[in-house]
Amino acid sequence: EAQWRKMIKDKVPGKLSTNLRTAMGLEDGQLPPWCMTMNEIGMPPAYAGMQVAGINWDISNLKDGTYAKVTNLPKIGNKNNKSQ
Amino acid sequence: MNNSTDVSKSVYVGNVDPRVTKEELYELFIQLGPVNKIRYPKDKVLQTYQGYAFIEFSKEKDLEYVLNLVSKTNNGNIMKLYDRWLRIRRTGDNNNS
Repeated sequence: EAQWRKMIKDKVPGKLSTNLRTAMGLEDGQLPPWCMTMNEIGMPPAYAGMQVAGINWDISNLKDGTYAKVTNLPKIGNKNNKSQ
Repeated sequence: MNNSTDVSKSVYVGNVDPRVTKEELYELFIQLGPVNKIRYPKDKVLQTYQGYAFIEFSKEKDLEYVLNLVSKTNNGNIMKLYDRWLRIRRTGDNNNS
């Protein structure tokens, strides 16, 4: 489905759109609530090496909706997906 | 057409404000792990979202990580949209309300 493919292309871990940040009530310079727990229990298994601003990445990277960096992003999304 | 999600890899998400879009759910949950599929039903007559969704992750270990992360964050309050905390639970787990 075209809409799903577009979402997969546009959205990446480590970055939150203005729209979503507004819905979450997350202010500029504020880390999403799950970051501190990630620091305690480790990063997501699929995002090994994830760097979070203020934790294991410089805090100055926290801007424009970006709060983390994931390198070697795994291929995501099921190409057979037909959900609507 | 296959609209179901794999129970062994999915979370149930409740208390979803009807203004929340499927795209927002996708963007939110990929922060925690790769998402394969989302089922977010609409009322057939009213065409409004029904307040819950199923998010299928890529692998079982992604699901286990997310459940662990949720349980260790602020009494399960980890994601809030439009001032409502999402209720995130293992799919098929009815004993935990």
